[in-house]
Amino acid sequence: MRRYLIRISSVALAAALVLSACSESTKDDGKGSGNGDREPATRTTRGVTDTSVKVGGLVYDLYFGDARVGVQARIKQANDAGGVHGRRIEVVEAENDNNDAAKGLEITKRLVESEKVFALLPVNSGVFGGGDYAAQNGVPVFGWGVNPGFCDKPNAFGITGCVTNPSLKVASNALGTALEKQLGTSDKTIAFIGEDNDAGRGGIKLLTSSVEDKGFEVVMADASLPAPPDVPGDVSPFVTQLLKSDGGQAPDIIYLIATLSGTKISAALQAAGFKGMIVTPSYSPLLLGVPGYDGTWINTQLGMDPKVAANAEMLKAVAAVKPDQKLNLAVAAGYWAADMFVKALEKTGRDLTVERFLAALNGGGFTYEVPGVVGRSEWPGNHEHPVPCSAMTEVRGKEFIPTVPLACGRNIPVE
Amino acid sequence: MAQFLSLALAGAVSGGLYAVMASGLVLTYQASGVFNVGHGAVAFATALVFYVLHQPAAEGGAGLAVVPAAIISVGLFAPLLGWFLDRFLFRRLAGAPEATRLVGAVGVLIALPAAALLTIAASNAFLGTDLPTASGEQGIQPPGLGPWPARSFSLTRGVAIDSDQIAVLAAAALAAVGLWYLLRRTRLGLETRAAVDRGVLARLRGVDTDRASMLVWMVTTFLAGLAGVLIAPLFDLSAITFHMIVFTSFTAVVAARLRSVPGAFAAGIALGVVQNLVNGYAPDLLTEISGFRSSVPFLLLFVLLFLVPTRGRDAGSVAEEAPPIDPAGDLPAWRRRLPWAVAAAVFCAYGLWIADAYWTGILNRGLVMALVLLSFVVVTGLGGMISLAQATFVTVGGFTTGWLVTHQWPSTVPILMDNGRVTFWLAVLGATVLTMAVGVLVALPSLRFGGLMLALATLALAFAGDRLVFQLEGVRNGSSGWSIPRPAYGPVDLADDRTLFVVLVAMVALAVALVVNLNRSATGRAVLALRSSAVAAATSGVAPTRVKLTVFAASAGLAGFAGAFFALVNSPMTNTSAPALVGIVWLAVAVTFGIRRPAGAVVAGVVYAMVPPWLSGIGVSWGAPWSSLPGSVREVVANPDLPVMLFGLGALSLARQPDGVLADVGAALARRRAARRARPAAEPTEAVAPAGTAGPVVPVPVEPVPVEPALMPSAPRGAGPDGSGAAVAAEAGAVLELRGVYAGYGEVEVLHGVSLSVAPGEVVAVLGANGAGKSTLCAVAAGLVAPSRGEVVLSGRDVTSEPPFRRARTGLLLAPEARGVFPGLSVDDNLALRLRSAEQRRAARGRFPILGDRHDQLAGLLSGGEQQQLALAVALGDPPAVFIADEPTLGLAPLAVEAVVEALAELRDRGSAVVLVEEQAATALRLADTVVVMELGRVAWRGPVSEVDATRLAATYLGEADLVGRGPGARSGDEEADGEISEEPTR
Repeated sequence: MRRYLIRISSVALAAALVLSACSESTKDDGKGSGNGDREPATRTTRGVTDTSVKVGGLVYDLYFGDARVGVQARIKQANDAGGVHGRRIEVVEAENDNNDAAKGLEITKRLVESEKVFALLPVNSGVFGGGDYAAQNGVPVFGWGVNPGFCDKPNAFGITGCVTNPSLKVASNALGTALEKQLGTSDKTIAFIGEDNDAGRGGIKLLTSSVEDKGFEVVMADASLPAPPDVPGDVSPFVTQLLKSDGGQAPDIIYLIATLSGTKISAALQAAGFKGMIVTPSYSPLLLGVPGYDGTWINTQLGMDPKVAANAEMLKAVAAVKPDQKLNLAVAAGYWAADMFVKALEKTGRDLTVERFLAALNGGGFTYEVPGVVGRSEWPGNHEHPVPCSAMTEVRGKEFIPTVPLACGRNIPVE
Repeated sequence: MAQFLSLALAGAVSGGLYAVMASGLVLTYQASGVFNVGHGAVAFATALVFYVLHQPAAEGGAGLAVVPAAIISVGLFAPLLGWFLDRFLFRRLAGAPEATRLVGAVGVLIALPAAALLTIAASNAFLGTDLPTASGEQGIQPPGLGPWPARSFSLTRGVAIDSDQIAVLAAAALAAVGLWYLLRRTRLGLETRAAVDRGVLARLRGVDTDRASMLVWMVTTFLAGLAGVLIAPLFDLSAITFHMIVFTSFTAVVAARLRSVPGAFAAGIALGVVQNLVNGYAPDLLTEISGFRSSVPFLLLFVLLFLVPTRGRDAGSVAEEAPPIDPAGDLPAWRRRLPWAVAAAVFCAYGLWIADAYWTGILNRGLVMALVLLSFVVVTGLGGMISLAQATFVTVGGFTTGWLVTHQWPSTVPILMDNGRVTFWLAVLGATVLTMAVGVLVALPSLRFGGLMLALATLALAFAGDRLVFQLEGVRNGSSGWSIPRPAYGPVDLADDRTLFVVLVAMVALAVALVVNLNRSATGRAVLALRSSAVAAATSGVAPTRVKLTVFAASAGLAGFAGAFFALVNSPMTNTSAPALVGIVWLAVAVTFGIRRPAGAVVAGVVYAMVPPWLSGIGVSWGAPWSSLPGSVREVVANPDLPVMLFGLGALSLARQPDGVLADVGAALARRRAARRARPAAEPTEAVAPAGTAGPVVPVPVEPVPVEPALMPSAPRGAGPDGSGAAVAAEAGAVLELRGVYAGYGEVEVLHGVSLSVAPGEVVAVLGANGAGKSTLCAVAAGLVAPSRGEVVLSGRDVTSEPPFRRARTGLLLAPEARGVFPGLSVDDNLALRLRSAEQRRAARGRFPILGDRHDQLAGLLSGGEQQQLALAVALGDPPAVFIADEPTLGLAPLAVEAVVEALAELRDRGSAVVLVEEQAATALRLADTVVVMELGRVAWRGPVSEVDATRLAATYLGEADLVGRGPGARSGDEEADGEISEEPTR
């Protein structure tokens, strides 16, 4: 038997050697790679012609499906205006990665290697499986930086920077700033509850720093809710904890990060007579009318007031491609990511290669800002940290009432 | 205190979720032997149907009111789904090994939700409807049956229960009581339990097991559907939520020992209470461990497995499992390997010279998957154990590799290390060894469980691992995970996908060689021995635990090895790269292509990696000719649910071929070869050979014409010794007649034209040596084996094509070899199954007082003699028209033999026609009126008992050829086929 094994293995090994020799002789010609470490003389023009530049992305449909509409709206505007430096932007419709890292990597590789896109636009997902690949191959990435694929990577540009740096060493005091503006004081107690996963734990750590920086007193910060796919059978234990978190009393403010049970907990809090402020990050028109959504406040990284000039213009552009599209975070994120890409193309100039593009953006001096909607990001600095701005909206009945326009604080270190 | 109580109460109410799911699981397991892990999928599909029907028309729904929507979804759709699943899947899997049955249920879990969502997507694409899917809307709870929005009742400040929760609890309670009543107090319940306990025997007792199984599936899917509609408003309408509730409720199922429906209900409620108390009161020390709270049910499950002994489960393996027939067994080795060699060459050529970088990358992922799936071949295909923790091992392997290649050591070792960092190849070795160690740790406590229990133990560990261990920052390297740089050694630079391809091909070849070697090694033989008979293996010096541990550890090691490459091609490796749930899908894929074959795993891995990109290529990105497809078609093809559904359907196709797709292909090829070979040979005899029996492997007698009249029964005409000559069949007074029966198993014919008849009040003894075909004769009479020719007449009616249960209802009772009792049913239930009136049962207990004393004991706990008495009591309580006893005295003490003889005599005296099949001639001759001696599938002699010559009879057993010649009704020189007849296979 051992002889048999040895025979098989030696055959396999020999085959491997022969094949690898062959593969060496037909080694990849290096097309499509624009590694930043290479000689500046390298000119990667993947997806670029004299008259067009091609982009494509991936979205997690469940949360960010409408980002496609936003991208489409902004690109149509650009193309209707004659393109950028004479190039029309071609969009490969973003595929759904289903929040699956393997699927995300596969889509990324297909877009780069088969579709030959110049840049990934939009990348809007909870995970980004193609993050390492895009970084290693120097593929520019645009989207909303809510996953680690936008952090510490010179090729990735989130509209609000790297939102949650996995090092958890840098935060912004945006939430504290917005809450202080909302309440007129920071002499309040606040309890945080989130889901028992990365987003929950990391988010709570950074948000705690954010409000403490402004002088709020954090009385509870637990990432204790069952995280998807687990579901809490009953939210009572968490509600009772929250209601007693301020030395046996209810706190002034409760901040909830919960994808599935958020409205259930806030409904239970309201039913138990909690009179304080319930804050969540969930800006979704679909939730209007759901019990527990009415009477809460929403803290968002983007200004969501439709009356702000930039938003009004966006809504007009969006209506031109999809008339019944409502304003939500996904459509806004898609639109502004496309807008940022257009600005980046403009900055690079007519001579477009991946290397020149990245050099133009990371060479210093490139900033992006939409007054009242997207806070100012400065590059390359925002590869490491978030844009420290946020806005507040109140849910009243079936309506969103903007209460604090986009307000910016500063980045703070977290110990 | 008030808060404690109200939290416990609220927990009990929310435990209704688990209660309703757990009771459904127990019922199906009891009724069909299938542990339906896809229970949540049925619930989800029904809830989705309800949602679509109930949504207002403005939002794309049908706009039905609650009641009609509920009637259609829960009352109609769900039971129909149950009927469908039973008819086309689980009934066909009934005799399959436990792993296959479990995978069938996994197929439902995977395919059903995807199919439901895909149906909606297809309807929207093709029919222009705007049906809502309800997925994609986080935090939205669809309305249920109760008031909307739900009414909330406050217990104490912060503790409230709402009307939806109460509805679930009420439905669960109602369901549990109803199920308990159904199973324990109704005829259907009794028949169902009998069918589960011993399906064949139940059919022999007149139970229509198919109908019982169908009804039970319809009831359970109805319950699942009801649960789905009730649960949806508590959470959201996503399949994964439903699956998690079902997985969590496994704890309650195990607490109920997989047997008791009320027990499962109570355990479900208790689980809700425990969860609430843990969430409310667990000490900070524990809750600061991330994932602790959600791991509690799985940790509990694991502990319960130890505390709760389970009945009749042999450690670790599927008992008495016959290895499948190799359809290519008739081919020379080179012919068997040639297709694989060609396929491998084509595959390599494609990967090296044709595929672009993107497709080479896909192939690489396929090869890594092949490595992963090979680990299933080891543990399940070879070892017969179901491990649902393989994804966990892959993650362990990936994380270990990640840590090893990133960790900076103060000093460096040449070759093994590179600037203070371990090289990738050493890391692969480290990952393999560490995962193997983890495998041993996991296996040591779990291996004492067999089959399903082992599967649940590994699942519990996988979930607990996901939630507890893989959440630790140091283990998973934070949310960014472990990035593994592609290593390079001189010209071998794995950053190049083609080089990586070559290396992976070599790795897969190495792994296949290892698996093949393990299969043929001493360990492999020991495992096969264990699987075919654990007891026999143990007495032959095989140490079961050590052998299984070896196999489990080897499989874990292989999974860890695969994990290293998995991390390389899926870099960065995070705790969500290979979650426990994905491991279940992998099992389904591996089994689909044939879990026993390394080649199956390789094909499965490549297909698994290539199908999704193909579909998105067709649906989205490829140009002509695909771009000319209508947009709606492409939209559906690109739907991410489509590949999921296909993989699920693949698992479901096991119902057709439990050995997987490759076995199916192999069998089809073997049939074609056989047909090709048979063609020239068959032509001369075509006119004579009956259709369907002329197999090329075992030739049947080519000249049957003269045989038949010679073998026709002579006894009915008056039991004359010289009954030769053409007897006519229709004998007045005969209640059971077999006329010229040919029958066998597959291609092996056992009976070659046997005729037999028995009249009321007559005892016919069928004697013969081992392998004479006596038991097959019984099986043909009872309808368990269909004759290829000849007919069976019962009470003047041709019943040849009737199923056993119908013959039993007509009055034929077969007490099969060994003991004709249901070991898992009580004595009373055993009696009640056939003796419907209390009067008859009382009489039966009066006849055998010991049965009265032990009326509520499980029949399996009775002694051998008592069990035989029970089997006879079943007959005596209501004497059947025909009673066939197959070796009723086998292995009994002399006193017990006496009791049997008396009982048979009594049956005869009360008018039953008795066929007594015996190897022990002495007992039979005391009772018999007529004796039939069988030899090699033919009747060698028949006549009245008075003419039996003991010497000649003894010669029959010794197989003296010339005796046959002297017997009436037999002819000499008919040995032409006998050499080919093998001993009849035992069941």
